[in-house]
Amino acid sequence: MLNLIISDFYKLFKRKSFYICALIAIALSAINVFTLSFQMGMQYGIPDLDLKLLGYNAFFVVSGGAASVGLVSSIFSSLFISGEFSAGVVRTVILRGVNRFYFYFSKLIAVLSVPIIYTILSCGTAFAAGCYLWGMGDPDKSTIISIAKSLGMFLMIQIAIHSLYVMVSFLVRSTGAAVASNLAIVLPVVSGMLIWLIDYILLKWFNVQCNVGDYWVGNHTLIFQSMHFAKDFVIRMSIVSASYLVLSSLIGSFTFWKRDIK
Amino acid sequence: MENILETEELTKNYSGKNVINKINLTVPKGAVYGLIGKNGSGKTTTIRMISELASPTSGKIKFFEDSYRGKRRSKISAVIEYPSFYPFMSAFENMESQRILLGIKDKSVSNVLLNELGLGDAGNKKVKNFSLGMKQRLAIAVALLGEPDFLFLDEPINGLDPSGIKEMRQLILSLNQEKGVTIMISSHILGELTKIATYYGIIREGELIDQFSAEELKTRVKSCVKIKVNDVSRAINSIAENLGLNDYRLDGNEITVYDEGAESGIINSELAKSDVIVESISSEVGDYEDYFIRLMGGGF
Repeated sequence: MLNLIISDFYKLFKRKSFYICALIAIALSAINVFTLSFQMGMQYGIPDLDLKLLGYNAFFVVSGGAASVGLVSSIFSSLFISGEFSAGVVRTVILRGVNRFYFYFSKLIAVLSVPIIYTILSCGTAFAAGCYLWGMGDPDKSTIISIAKSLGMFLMIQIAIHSLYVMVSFLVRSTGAAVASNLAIVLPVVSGMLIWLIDYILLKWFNVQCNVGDYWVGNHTLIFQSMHFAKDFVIRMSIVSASYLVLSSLIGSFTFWKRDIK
Repeated sequence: MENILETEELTKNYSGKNVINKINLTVPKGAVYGLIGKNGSGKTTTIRMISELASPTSGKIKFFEDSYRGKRRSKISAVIEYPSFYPFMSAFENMESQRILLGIKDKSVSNVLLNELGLGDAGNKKVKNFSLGMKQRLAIAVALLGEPDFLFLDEPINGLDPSGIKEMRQLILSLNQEKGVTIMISSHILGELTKIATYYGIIREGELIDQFSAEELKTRVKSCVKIKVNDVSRAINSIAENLGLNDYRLDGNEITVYDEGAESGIINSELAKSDVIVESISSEVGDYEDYFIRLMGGGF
């Protein structure tokens, strides 16, 4: 299993698309900070307003750096998994007697590292851009704890949703279909239609008032924007994220185990 | 003789139809086993089941006379259908990813194998820029990592030019004879297969209809002399007593002589001396391809 994981990380870091996606995440993160600076200036009616005078510093935008991570890493994750099938390399590995469950979980671990790496890079870039614009500042302990909490929650949700991407990519197996399914179906369709439909059915047929969206991780991908979380929200999201991770991993690995490899 | 692979009643069912039906394959250790069959006869499905890419509907697979998931499972390798690589990585990097996966500590093994397969100079070239022949050789280099005892090659000479086919044949022979690797090859190119295979299995419509050694094939497909005569019994006496030819078959007034060294001119002359009228006489060379095609049930 360890050899399999090391081999997957070797392949991950050899992929040009990994670095291209990382560069995109970094660039978007920097653009976000500069755009924020400009927008705030416009908001105050002073285009060249120095936000430093309002108390802004680099720590204010650390979490904001994560804004583009979800999208970019979802694209890369879909490419990474489906590439194994479209290139046919999955056969080369499995026919050497590698356990299919090990294969799945090794890929999962490699993919889950992607949003973590991209978040570190993006937040680091945002922090550097903030330093350039407003200086590092002198944040108090509670601000740093809030940032850490915000990023921790963000990563937890990203891990949950990436485990879904891995499952979908293992199910559809082709590169284009995996990217399309993850970008166009998993988030928009579930967030926009399915949840609303379930809420409606529960109310109409069972007279149960429920907000299913609270239990859909896709609705919380912008969680980094918040700095303060209620305790029950943190507990609920932890349980929900863990459930997504476990369930999607079980379904994905089981179907991979059962299906033939072409 | 120890068998490296045995299958018992191996069956694969798709949508209620048995595409592979109760196959009992036996591959002896050290053999080059040629799996022969028409397109769609079930060769690749059989190899895919044996190599765990597809699960059998029923039946058993044994390696090294041991259970299927024996410890030596990693000593089995394969190149199935077409060579598969990460196109964005170089040949060396593809080798390395597999070397790491197999837990091989010796870092020089990738370069050694690339050199052995004639890809030493192309090691740093991206695989997407490789020709089919180079990809085939790289696929075998990857398959040889971990020093497998048993290697499946599915259509290994498809798409290769004549020199590539010759190189592949020499490579297969050297792997088998020098490294002792047992090899199972599925191929359409029967002429090539008969140059290297020591055992054969014939698959027709999902069933293994025959299995035999190369020696047995030679006895089945012999050169012969076919003679049509007016007096069969006098003709047989003559060639048996005067020429010592005893391996023959009768079919009406036609005698087919299979003895090695039987020559139509000498037989004709001898029959003439015995006052036997020869209506026709011809020498026929034993044709493996014709024999296989007959077994497979017609052309491809």
